[in-house]
Amino acid sequence: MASDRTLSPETRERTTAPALSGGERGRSGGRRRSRPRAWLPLLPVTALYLVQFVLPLAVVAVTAFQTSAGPGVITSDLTLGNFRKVLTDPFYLEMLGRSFVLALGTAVLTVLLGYPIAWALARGRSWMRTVILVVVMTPLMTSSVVRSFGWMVLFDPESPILRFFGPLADERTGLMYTMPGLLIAMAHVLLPFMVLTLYGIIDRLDPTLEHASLNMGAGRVETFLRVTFPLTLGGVFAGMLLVFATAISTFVTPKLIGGTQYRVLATEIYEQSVQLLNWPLASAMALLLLLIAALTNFVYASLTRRIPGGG
Amino acid sequence: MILRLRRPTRLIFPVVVAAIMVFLVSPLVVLVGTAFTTTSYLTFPPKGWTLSWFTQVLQDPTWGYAALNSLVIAAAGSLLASVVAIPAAVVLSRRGVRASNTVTTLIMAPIMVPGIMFVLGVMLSYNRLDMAPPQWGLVLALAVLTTPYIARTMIAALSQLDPGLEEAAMSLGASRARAWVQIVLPNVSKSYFSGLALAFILAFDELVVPLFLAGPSFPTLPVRIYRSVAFDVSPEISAVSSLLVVVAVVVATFAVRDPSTAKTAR
Repeated sequence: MASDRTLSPETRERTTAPALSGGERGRSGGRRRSRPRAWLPLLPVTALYLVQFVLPLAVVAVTAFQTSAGPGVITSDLTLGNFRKVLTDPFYLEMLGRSFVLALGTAVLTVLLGYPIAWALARGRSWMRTVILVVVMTPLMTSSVVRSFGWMVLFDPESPILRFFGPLADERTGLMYTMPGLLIAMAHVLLPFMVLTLYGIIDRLDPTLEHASLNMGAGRVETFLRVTFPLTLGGVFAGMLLVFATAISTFVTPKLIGGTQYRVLATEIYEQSVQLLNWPLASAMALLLLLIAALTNFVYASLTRRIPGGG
Repeated sequence: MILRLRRPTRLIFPVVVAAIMVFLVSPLVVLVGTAFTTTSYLTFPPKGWTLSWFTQVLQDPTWGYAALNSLVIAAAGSLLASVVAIPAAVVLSRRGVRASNTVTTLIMAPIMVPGIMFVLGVMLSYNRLDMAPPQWGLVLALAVLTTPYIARTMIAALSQLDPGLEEAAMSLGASRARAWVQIVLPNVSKSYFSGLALAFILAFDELVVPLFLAGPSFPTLPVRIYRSVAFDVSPEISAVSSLLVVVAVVVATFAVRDPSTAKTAR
């Protein structure tokens, strides 16, 4: 398809998609087959999801309310004790708080770093777009183990970049095992998501609004602050929610960069389930994590539905 | 433009953008750099210049074994995902199916659910069955995780396709099956391959699934790198990582030419 070549017509097509499918619905309605046969192609995905997705999640949900009787042993006594432990024990409360702070900090940092990039991606010349897209997509295509490893090398106390981060770094470990280091690495891992979300919304802004503001005497900075930025605020929130939901369930980066000092939900779930074999406690934390992610995703979905072009 | 910016402010934006781009590539560049060092420890900038870490990696059968394992499960997982996602995408994009939005959301659910919870559930399920997770268990789990990406690409591609193409083929005497094989599928194959490439890369890079489900006798590349990074760091790991970075750059460059990938990746 010709429209596949460039970015903007394709994205514009997306906004008209609902109208198209509505028309198609009317046309194909006449020769629609009987219901059961029409749904038949959904059978494979349903079967796979039931056995391999719904069932495992149900197992976690059940295990979260059972009792651990030593490593790897579960008794079927029902209890709320696992949740009580996570929500009242200071060790776990601190871990929960840290997970929140890390995810929120990552979301804020990705907005600050992602906005200029998304802007350049939407408004730059075509060769610049290509360069930016490759630079943004490459980390996305690289395993997060590899990316975290790169930061480990950079955060070494003898690394040359530490001169720029002097006050943030620890004398012995450099930026390794520090919150600033963890935030930098997390922002790097999740920046592509933010850039792609913001790009979607900046690209669809009506340029005449900016021209009008400039014509009426506002400067570029004032136009940005009072016209453009408010119009993209929905995308900013959507991107932050997306990054928050992903960040709070990220395992690799906190594990490698944060080490044992900076335990977060995902690393603690791993610790409890694979190392300590306390499956009910791990399941309770996983269920909490799902609750947080689901709430975030719910707000994200209702937000993107309301603002055109979000997500 | 009537309103021109004063010189210094005009430079701020490009400099900021360039700085952030440097931030994005720096850990990858550093990795590639450290892979050439002649020292036995990691250092950047590298001291000296040698290819010996690369030859060492290519000659070490354990790296090859881990890479092969990753290739096989990622290929099998993303192909299985295609098998279940494509028929679903056909229904959800082309026919007048009511509630198709709800069904699409449900198919996207594995992206929404925290991966670590899903994998914990899979591990506990095998536990309850009193069996060690089999190797095809990895394939099934990866298929679930990549199905949303292929489904999303295919729904987008198929719903953008002019339904007139299929109708024209059928009015010229082709059966519905023949219209699909000869007309519809060739038209969306480009999108399919970009979706498949993304799914494959995600499955290949996946760490948490094999970390929970695979025993030490079946290491995948990310797990092998993870264990080395956590326990004994050496320029050898930089060499392996550099090879993966090169693959990523190639795939990213390739993917950028098809904009639907950028969207599919969220």
